[in-house]
Amino acid sequence: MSVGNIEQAGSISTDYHMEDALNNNNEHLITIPREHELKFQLLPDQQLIIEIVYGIAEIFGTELANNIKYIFNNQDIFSIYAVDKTQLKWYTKESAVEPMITQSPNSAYAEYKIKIYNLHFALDKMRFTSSQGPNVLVIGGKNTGKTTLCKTLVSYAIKVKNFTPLYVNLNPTDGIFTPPGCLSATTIYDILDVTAPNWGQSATTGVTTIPSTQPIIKNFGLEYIHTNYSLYNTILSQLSIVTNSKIMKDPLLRRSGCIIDTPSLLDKSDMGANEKEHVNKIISQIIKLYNVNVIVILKEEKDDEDNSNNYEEIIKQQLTSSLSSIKDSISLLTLPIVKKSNVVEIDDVYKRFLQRVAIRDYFYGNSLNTVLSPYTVSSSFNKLTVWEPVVYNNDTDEDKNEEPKLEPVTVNASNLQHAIVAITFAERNADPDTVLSSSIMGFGLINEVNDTRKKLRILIPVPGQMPDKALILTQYRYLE
Amino acid sequence: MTNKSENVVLKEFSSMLDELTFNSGPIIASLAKFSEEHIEYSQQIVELVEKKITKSVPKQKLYAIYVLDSICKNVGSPYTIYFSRNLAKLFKSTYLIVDNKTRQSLINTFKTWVIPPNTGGTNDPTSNTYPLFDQDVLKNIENFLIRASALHERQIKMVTPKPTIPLLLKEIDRLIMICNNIVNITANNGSATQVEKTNAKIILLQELRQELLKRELPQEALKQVQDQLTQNFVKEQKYSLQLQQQQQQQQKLVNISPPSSQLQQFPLSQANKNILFSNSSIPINNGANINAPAVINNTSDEFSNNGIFGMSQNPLFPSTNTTANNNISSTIPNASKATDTINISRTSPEEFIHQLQENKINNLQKLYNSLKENDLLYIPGKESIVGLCNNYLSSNSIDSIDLIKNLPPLELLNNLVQDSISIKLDLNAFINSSNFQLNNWTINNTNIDTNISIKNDNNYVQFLYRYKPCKCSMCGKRYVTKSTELNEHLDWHFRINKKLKNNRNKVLQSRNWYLNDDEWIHTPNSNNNDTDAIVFNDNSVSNGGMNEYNNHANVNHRLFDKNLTGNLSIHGLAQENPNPFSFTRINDTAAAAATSSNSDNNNNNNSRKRSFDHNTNIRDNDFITPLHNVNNKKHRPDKIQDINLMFEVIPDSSNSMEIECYMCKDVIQGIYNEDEGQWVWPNCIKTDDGNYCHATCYYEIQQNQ
Repeated sequence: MSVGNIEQAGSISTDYHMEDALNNNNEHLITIPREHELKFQLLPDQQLIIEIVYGIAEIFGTELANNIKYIFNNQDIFSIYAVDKTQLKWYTKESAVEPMITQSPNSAYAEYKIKIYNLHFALDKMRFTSSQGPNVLVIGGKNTGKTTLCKTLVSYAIKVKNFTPLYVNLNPTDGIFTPPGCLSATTIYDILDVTAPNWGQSATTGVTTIPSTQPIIKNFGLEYIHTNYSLYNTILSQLSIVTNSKIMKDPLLRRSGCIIDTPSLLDKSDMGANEKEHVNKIISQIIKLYNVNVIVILKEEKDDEDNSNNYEEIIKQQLTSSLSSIKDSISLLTLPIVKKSNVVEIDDVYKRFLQRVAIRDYFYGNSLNTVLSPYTVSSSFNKLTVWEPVVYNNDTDEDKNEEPKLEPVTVNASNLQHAIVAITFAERNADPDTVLSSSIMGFGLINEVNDTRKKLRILIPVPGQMPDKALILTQYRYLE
Repeated sequence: MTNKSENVVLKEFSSMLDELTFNSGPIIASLAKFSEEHIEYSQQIVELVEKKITKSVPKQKLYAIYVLDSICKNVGSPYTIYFSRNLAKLFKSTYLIVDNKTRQSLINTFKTWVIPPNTGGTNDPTSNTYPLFDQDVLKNIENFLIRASALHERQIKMVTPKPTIPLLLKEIDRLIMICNNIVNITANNGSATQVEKTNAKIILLQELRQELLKRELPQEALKQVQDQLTQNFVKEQKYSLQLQQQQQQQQKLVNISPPSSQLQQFPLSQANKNILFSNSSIPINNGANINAPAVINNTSDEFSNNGIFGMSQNPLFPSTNTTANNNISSTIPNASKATDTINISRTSPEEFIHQLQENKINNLQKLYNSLKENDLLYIPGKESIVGLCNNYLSSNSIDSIDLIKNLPPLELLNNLVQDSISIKLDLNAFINSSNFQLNNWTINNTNIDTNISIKNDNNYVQFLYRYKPCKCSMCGKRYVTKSTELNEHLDWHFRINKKLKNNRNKVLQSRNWYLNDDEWIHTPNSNNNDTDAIVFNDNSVSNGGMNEYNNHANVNHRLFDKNLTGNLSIHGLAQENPNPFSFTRINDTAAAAATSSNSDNNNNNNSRKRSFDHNTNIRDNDFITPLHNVNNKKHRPDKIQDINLMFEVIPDSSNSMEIECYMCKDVIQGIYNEDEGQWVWPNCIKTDDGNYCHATCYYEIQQNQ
């Protein structure tokens, strides 16, 4: 090729359009201009391979290596942000249908991104200048990008100095490092796995390409927080006790602070006054328990301001009432969100899909580089003690019943078939209070329940016998 | 009714198309006219023409393309729109199977699509300024042609010049000249076989020349001769270029006088480059004329032909040849004229070349000196891009074409600039800057957003990414220094990948139980990815004797008893390590210690890391006992050499291959243990506190106590 051709090719790629560069392997080259974002939406079971040719690109805060193939298997939606002008190569395997690739409108996105950067720098500054780092509460409505913001902030925090922020996931429907259904806290000290929808591997026996993390897990077990607010509150405080003692012990952790991801608490449509009171209580509880000193509210910019569903209002109100004693130490920020340009709307189907992925990943690993072998053990009915969180159908029920406690579950097929059970550290014959307060050793998947022979088969992640521990039934089911 | 008439019309059209077996203007014109009259069937007509293009034999494809061309030019929309859809595909497929002559015609036709010929004069300037087809389609074809012409450069070259005897003679002369040149150079370098070979070639060429002069040859024969010559030409030229380059480099070393070397280097190497370019017929397309690369190749070929032999009126060093010599040669018209006056007939080709070079260099040198004397020259500093580039060029000049290709890509240079900007920002500046302050919120503050300084300070963004300039090529993680941190990190990757490779299909791995509250609280961060410390696997579970020592049936590694930690003989030494980043952080849970011992039989049941197990025939139970009573009594090897044979496998989490002995503070260097297939620290032991120390130190202290 002569010199002229090189120049010509360069001038074509600058005006941002996809070129069929090589025409074989359906490989495509895309150049993302600086500070632009490219969204990828994969079809189910589609495999997408991405390689950065040059430039600096990141996926939710984690920088990608150049000339390394990243394989995206089961993650439907992600986006690549070009810090510098970036050229990337992508191709799909055995699929004629191309994934959806869209570019975010730059102006709105860039503004949002700058705010995230600023937020991060402000947080980093706190980490550098005081021994008590930022304990950030990220709060907001459905699909406002809370988890994505957390992921980005966590990833940025380990960039300049090796801080080890604690990521606290208070959203039981998200399985991040864990299967869904639990509240968890994880110390982040290494890069996240960009190709894993659940951020990375946790606690494996073998070696992983990215060091696996060690989360602490408290089981909530229910799908919806509003079905048992007081249980959620209890679990919340139990987790905070553990994280606080760890933070107390570890000065670096204290300095790094924590990033707290929350569920969208106000999304239930018919919310009674009681329920609102519960939500208020939960929010102020979180702020108190986790010593939150930075609150980030992700607020969707709407024309008609609906004050009843406004986190900002709630928090302001809480700060003036129940939290007035500590309000001076709290910084409150709102990040306005422009939907469609800043965040991706994900539906329940996708959420279910992610939960499935998280469960499969827990037992079997991701098929790419971490293959795990779970074990199936069989157990007779009388050797199991299974508890189940009480579900309240409306808030008045809950108020009548003071205790958020567990109730025993009869072991039979209709109750347990295909269910995910949390294996607690509490002994099998322990009382419900002990069971509730103990942390989670792992999860089991009940595969086969034989009512006549009074036997069932459980898939457990670790080889050996079924631990002689109390189990808590979760509302999650998984059919292989 | 309409159907029938449609059929009739289309039938008529296709029969007319079928008649088109030769390049017939009238038929094409009438086809165009027909399609204009039956514009209502445009879609079908387009299909017919497309079909004709794809179906007809290669020779006749061009005519069908002409029909397309004619229709589009005369009728225009909607035909242009319909044709646009498949145009690129059609054009490409046609181009690929036709011969070179037709290709040229295709290219010519294509050119008229991009820039329609100005037929109507100034009558309708607007219509002529727009390309015939959609921009994207044309761009697509253009890209294709660029690629295709690069591939078929040689073929195209063969098409255009008609082989005539004088032309061939010229070619032969050039070849002889090049060969002579090679002989000269190689004779100096002392490669005898090469000289012989080239001499033989010269003789052959001279014979061929005689033959050509003697008699008239048929056109085909001439063409064959021409083909072979061009092939030879390319080959020889490359070789001679290489040789020349070598020679010039040597010359340069001699020429440059030490005091002014830095300054002279720039014009000199520039001059050399120019000469190389104008000597060679390897075309340097400067990109302006992409549409017809064939034409350029050809003309530049002729340039050098005519230039060297002085047979045309062209200036010897056409300033359009390269962009590089543009500036310089245009400023020295006198110089190039001077070289024109050399009497070509009297000099042999190689002398001539030599003279040219000398002249050129001298003239440039003169010009450079005079410019410098008059302070008209900007001399780039040593550290400038030009200086760097110059060094780069002079150090890497193997092939003249590669010189330009070897320049670092724009992105890399850009990256360097950004890196250098971000280096100016240091961490302290960031910490001390007044930006990024989170103010405490007060209830009255309504304008919450402004608490954060929203300011697009790109430097800080760059700082975030480039504060650590060394990016790991495997995972994208960044490090401050290349030498230590990154290397250690890469070592880590290496070990992990090796382990992964070994483990695949061999070792079953599974998820662990999560830690309970206490363990989690006490697991240090930087070590909690230490798979060795939190691991137990099926080996340990299946080990029958194990269970006795277990409090919890299946949770082997939780057998620690915190109280026992206090009994450790080594405990007195275990102080909290103040450096949280350091690897040697204290594992203040006995769990980690116990499990680290557990992990001994972790990787391979048969290979005992503690080699005294091998030597002293310890029974299976004894093997377990020391592991699990580890907190009470440390296993005691029988012989001193057993101690020396002990080692610790470097854990996956360790970034460093080195570790400091906890006791004597000596550095233990990691080595590769062939038997284990693992990287290990020799003469090393992991204490119950999770510290590493020399096995010798450890037992010495134990004995003393």
